[in-house]
Amino acid sequence: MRGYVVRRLVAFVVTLACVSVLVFVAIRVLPGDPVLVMAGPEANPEVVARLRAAMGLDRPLVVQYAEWLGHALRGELGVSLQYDVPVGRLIASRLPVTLPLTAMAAVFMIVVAVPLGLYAAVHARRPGDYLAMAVAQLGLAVPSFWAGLLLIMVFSVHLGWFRSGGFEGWTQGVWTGVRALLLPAVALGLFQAAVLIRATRSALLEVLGEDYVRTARAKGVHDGLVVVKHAFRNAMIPVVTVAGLQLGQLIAGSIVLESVFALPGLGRLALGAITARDLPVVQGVTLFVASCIVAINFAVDLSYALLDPRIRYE
Amino acid sequence: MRGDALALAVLAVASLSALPVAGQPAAGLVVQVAAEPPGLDLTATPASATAGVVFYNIQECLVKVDRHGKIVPWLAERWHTSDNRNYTFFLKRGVRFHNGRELKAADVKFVFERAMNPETKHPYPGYYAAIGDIIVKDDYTVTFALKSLNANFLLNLARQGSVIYPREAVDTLKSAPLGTGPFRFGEWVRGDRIVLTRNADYHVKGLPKLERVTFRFIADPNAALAALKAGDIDASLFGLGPEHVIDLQKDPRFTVIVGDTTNDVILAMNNSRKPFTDVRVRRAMTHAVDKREVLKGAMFGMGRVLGSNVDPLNPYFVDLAGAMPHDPDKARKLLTEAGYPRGFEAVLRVSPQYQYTVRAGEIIVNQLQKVGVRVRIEQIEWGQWLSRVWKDADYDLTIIGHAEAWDISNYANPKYYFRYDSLPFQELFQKSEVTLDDKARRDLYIQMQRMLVDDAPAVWLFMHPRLAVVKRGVQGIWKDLPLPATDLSEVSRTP
Amino acid sequence: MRCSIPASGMSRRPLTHVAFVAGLAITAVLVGTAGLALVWTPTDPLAMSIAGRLEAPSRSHPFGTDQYGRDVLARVMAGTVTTIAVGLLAVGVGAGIGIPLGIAGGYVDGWLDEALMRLVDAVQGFPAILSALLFSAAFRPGVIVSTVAIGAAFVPAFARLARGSFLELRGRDFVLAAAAMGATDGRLIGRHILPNSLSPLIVQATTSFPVAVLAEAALAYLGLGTQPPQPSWGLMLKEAQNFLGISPWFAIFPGGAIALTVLGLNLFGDGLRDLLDPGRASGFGA
Repeated sequence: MRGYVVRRLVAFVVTLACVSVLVFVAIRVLPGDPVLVMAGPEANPEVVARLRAAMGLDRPLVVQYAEWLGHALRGELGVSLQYDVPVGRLIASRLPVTLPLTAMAAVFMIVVAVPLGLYAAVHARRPGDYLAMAVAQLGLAVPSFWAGLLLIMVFSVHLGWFRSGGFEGWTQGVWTGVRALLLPAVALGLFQAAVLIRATRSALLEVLGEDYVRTARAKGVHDGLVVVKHAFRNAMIPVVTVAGLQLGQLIAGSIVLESVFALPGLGRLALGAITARDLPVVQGVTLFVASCIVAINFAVDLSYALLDPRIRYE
Repeated sequence: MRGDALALAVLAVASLSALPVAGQPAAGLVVQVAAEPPGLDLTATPASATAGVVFYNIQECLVKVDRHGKIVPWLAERWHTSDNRNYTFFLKRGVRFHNGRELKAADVKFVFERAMNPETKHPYPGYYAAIGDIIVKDDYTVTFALKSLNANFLLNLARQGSVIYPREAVDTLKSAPLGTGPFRFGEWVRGDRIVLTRNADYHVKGLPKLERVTFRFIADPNAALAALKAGDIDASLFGLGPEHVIDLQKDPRFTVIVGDTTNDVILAMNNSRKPFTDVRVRRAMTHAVDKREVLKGAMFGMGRVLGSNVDPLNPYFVDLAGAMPHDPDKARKLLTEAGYPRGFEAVLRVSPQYQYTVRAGEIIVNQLQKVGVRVRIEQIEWGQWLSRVWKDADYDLTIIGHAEAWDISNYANPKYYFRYDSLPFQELFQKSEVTLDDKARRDLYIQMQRMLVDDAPAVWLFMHPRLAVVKRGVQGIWKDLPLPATDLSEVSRTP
Repeated sequence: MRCSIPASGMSRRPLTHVAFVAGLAITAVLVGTAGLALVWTPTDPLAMSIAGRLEAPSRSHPFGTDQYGRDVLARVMAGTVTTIAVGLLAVGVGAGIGIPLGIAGGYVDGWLDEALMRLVDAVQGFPAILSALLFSAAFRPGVIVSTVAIGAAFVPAFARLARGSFLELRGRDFVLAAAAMGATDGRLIGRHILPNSLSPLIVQATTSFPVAVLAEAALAYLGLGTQPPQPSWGLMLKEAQNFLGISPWFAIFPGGAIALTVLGLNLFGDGLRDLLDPGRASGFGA
């Protein structure tokens, strides 16, 4: 097991390196000049040229990447071209929005989806099942920006229960912060919850049809016990896989919603940075997100070993 | 049982939301802005997002353009020139910077010498190119000695690059600027908002009327609309589209302001690329476009149709909108004359960053098809538009709004992305830059506008309207925008 | 908790499988509409009439008109073609690259497996918007280019699912038995493992189809994806958002079309999976 963990850590570093090269090349290859974006179309060409030289953007790509890599290995992610603020600090300032938002969306997703999926599977082909599936269909059918806007219109404009967007910060108290993030978390988690409902239901149904389950029933084991002890654990592998995938998509999927809800999170930072060709910020955010996803995948893989004793890692 | 739990949960959530939200202190204003400024230093960036927050609010100039477009004395209470070469400004006394120090002539000298210094990378070096020397006569008198005549000299002193700041605050200009304005910089929560607070020592008595101003960054216009309706913001000055304004006109809680701006929206043609090298083709394009339909379709009729590159707020504006009217038959005739009897194909590049350009584009493509010009629309992202279209002129057609006032100079620049190179026009323009007699200058400007109509280097579509919506009771917002600024000094609210 | 576990085994008669029939019907309507739209629409989906913009449904315009006065019914019909193309291409790219990748990883094990999975992780960590922007810059911006970018973003999901299934099935009795009887690896994968891992993969494919449609809508939000004036439901929905205050009708039809497509495809996928895997009790049955 220990060898496995070590190998995974090494692979983690290699993955990050690959991602950083990919992003670097992508941003540089993409037509678009960060200085020009900052200066805008009314700018003086000479001024633009001078700024580029001052920022070192004239040098060959390899040189620029090597310099960035050198700094990154020392833990310095560079300074934002747009804001002139260290990238690390920029990312850290957005985390108090994005992390709780993602966590709340994930909680919403799991708390809604797994019980509903279980319920649907156990009551298959009966009204309860159909109702749960209808709910899932609804969640699947709505694009996130649409869901966000609808939620705002109903719960904020019409009912006045929540603010329409923005985020004051956690200084006003935990409940104020949670309230500000509630609608976007629901919009964010809605689609993934719907996916997870169906995945949970289908995984559990498969397992329930297995021979060993029928055997247990035939032996007279109580229905509920069968579900919990035998079926659930084995159904969990595909469920956990899908949940892990959805978690990754949650992180990526907040970009649109942060625009709709005007939240100062990582997604908006990344989008703004891509638009402005602010390479240090794009690199920093991508590496951070990639690290999170790799970590989640690692946890998922480890959980396979826990859930299914037949799977072993040496 | 499960139902009860659900009901309880809903009740719990609902009761939480009944808790009071921290409110704004009295006489505060929350304004939506669409883009977060990249920095707050007007001497380093021309970004309009920066001007929107800082210009005329935190920092001011020697002279000011007021809401009617007139140049009025400001930090300089009067000025004097006998030969149009030497301008002497007499500073107002008792004007204090936000750090308490009084404004003196030496500060003015410092600001402009820094602007003229190529090392400091000022975004508008052209404004000060004509300045030879700056002489401080005494603490409140400063003279600018120009090397040549410059008709726009005063105007340039009133623009966003010419703000006056204390020399000791140069290093903090980007993140916490100091100035003489009605508001002080309060705080900048990146990604969310910028807060300004009232300057109690402002040099104009009775102003400002607001205690604080909060600029919130909301990029999505639908989100801004929702925020207005929910009461989370008090004003949206730039971020809404015409359809949102129409929606709010029906709502008695809001006041809608529709005015003029200096933003000319044009259909630019690459004059250096076939078939737009031929003036007949360019004229045909002008006749093929029904500008009134474009205005109705893209802007719900708000704004004004343009015929040439000077907007109605400019004192030298002459209405040439009818000079090349919508005439598809004439367009086809001209195309045939130019050798394109069956029309031609072209690509229109627009950036969805500016929705009105995409909408205008869709309508225009439809119109051009009727005369045989088959255009494909390519939406490209803003960074790419700047590099490929604006910098490298790699385009056939594009649509964009030019927001700067007095930008007819772009047509005198053969390297500008229009690639319009007309010696007679360039000569006319150079002459207008050094003609100070108002009547003579007006004549030159009229000649230039007519020449542009004849040469048709672009198709001038419309002047983008000023669309602002504020909560009822908010007063003092400028109706017209003679220059891109968000002057909040005279804004007040009746509760 | 009172429950009863459904009996296993299901009807082998497809036509009595309610949900499958419904899904098939909806999918058929979709494909049929797309085919029809390629040759005929009641009016020209590109014909503008500014004076008649944002109208409610009427006899001449059963679905109303959009912000330029174009007939929404015609545009929704024409948009069906875009929707199907986007879904097929995205899922095709995602599954076509992802499944072989996942199986290869599970099969070879060791370092190569690690490397492949890290490559998959790297792709997952690469912002999808960036790849869409990149592709649009390198080639022409348009629906095909953006769809390939979406498909690329699907690869990690398919790869990990395929690999997960492979690992799980590899240790199963029937596979071990077949191996003991001398089946080659190819035969094991082709005949035993792959068919039995189809189930989650089919679910993933049918879920990914609408995800692709929605992703295209999100890209339309940013100006990538389908270029105007070509109709696409996502683009129409995004535009309709702006006009809710003037004409709520405009949003209903593209939104409804998306919802119906998602429903139909999911039902169809569920039914398809049930039919392909006899002996598994799942999905809506007769």
